[in-house]
Amino acid sequence: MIERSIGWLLRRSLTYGILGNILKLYYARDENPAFRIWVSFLIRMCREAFTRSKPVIWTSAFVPTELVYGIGGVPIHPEILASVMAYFNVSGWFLEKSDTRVSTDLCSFYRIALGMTMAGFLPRPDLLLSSSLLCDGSNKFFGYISQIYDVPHLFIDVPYRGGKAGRRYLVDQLHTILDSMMRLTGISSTQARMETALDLSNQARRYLLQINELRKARPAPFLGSEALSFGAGMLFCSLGCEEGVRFYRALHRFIRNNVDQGVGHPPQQKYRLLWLHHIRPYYPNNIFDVLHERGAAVVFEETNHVYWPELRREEILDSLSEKMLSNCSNGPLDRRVENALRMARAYDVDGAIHFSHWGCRQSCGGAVVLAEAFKAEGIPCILLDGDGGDPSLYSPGQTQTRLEAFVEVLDQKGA
Amino acid sequence: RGEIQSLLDRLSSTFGVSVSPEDLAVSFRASNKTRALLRKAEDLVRRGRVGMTGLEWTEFSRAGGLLPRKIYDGFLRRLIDQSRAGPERNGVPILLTGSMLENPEIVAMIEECGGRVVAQDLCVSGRQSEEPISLTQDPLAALARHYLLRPPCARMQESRRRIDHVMSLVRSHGVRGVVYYVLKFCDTFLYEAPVLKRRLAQAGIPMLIIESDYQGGRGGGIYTRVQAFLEMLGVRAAQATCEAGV
Repeated sequence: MIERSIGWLLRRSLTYGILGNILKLYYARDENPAFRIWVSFLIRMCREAFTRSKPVIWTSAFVPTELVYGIGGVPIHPEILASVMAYFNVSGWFLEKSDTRVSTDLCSFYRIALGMTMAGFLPRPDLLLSSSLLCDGSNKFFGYISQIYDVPHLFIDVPYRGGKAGRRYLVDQLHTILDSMMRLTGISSTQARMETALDLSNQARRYLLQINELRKARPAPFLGSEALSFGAGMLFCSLGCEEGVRFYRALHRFIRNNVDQGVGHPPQQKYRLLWLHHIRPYYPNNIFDVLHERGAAVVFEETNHVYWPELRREEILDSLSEKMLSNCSNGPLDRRVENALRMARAYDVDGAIHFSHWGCRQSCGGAVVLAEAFKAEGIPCILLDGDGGDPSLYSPGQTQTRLEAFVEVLDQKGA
Repeated sequence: RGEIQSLLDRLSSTFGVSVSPEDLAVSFRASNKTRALLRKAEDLVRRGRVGMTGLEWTEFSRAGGLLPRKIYDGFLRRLIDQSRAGPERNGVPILLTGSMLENPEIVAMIEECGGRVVAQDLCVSGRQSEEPISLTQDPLAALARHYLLRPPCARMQESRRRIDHVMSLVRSHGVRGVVYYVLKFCDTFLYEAPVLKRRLAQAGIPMLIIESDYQGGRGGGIYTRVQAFLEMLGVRAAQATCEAGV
């Protein structure tokens, strides 16, 4: 009964008008205007998707959203919405539902998303678009969703290695996929919209590059916990739309002010840390409090690294292929390791935390190699086991003990 | 094809050997011969013409991945030559499908509990005896085609094709229950389990999912679950017989 009522409310445009105003008031005092843009962006996306005012295209993380905005669709990232549920501490409810269907060892973000699907809390897709980038599970999850809703699932097979042949293989796929997207959504012309999407994506990218440069400052001007939550969320969802530009412009202004005024986030900063992997626990947890109390600040994250070059509107699909192939986590592990070490040097970090999300085989599989590489560089690296979406796998005491021990290592190294 | 060509070039330069199309054809012929023998042996085992338990056959077919081809072919030939007419094996026909089978004991458990494994579709057995590699086209294209068109692993994107393949095995072997054996953390197979379960349910075929963690043996309540599953299938069979009699 409750589920049906919420499902009914989610499909009403009025709901988003009311919710938007309530949240606007609630977050009016938030010092970071970018956060408010993130909230209104999420509400707009959900309104458009649930009221079906645009083609609803579910995409997996790392699929270039420019493709979706370029055909006038609304991208829905089930992983991101799952992390929002974890943020509101209701992910357990959805996990309970999905655990009746799939193994509890699968990635919790997809399990939460499956639970949301079962409860009718995700907008019905017109089309599914996933890629092989980083995650084997996403393809299978989208395949499963395709059968539940009986909607087409388009899959981008990103080759392990790039090179000319790899690039050509990917461009050919994108041509086919774009044609299929247009046919399935009934959209006839995309060129102008696609060019706009690329322009907007480039504008956001330029701000993000400047942000990343500013974040090298001492004291660190922006909280890593926030860069990993709504910062990363926008990176996955907003490239190619207006809000993406507005968000990164606002965030840039906020961070530049902090740098100009010498304001540190967090205030006490003794150690600078790099966060490895794209995920953090989104449910209430004490990780960042423990770090901040001991003067350790996450100054940069693997997820916010700009790995792709400026997009070219004259060769749209080739450019998007280049973007996908530029992902440092695609291909041999050495590539990710070298990139992580470059970040460590650029941000002059004292240590690194690799958050080993339980369901993520790809990242956890390389964690030990990464840690060894950091050790060889004289940078302590902790492999923090946990789960980004399932609070039942989180142990505050154990996490605190491990983080305290890690900071002690940094203390000893400093002494 | 391009990928296989790159691999071949790399192997050739690393080990200082050259591989001609004729060399590949010789290799394909040998593999095709083994596959044909394996298919024949599988059929004989299924029809009870070979005095082997399901566990023995599982071990035997797994050995094909380890033994030199000539020796293995010899074993297969001997098995086929020694086959003789005999009574059909009893038991509820079961299809064993899933990922790597690191614990062949599961086959013994199924048979002890009144089942009979009539078909296997696993990474280590069942999928190897597929169609031969074509000898009439460009060898590398033929090899690529062979691997792309064989019954797919869940790692491949074509979930529907894999499930259609499993359903065809169910129909062709008169399967009455499916045991889905999957290793812990094998995401691709874990995601496909509910999809297959639903498809099988539509056809009235129950499925038991066993998630294993490399412990092997009969622990973890696996035996009890297999026993309960087979009992349930037995009851269903008895009911069906009663209803048919009525």
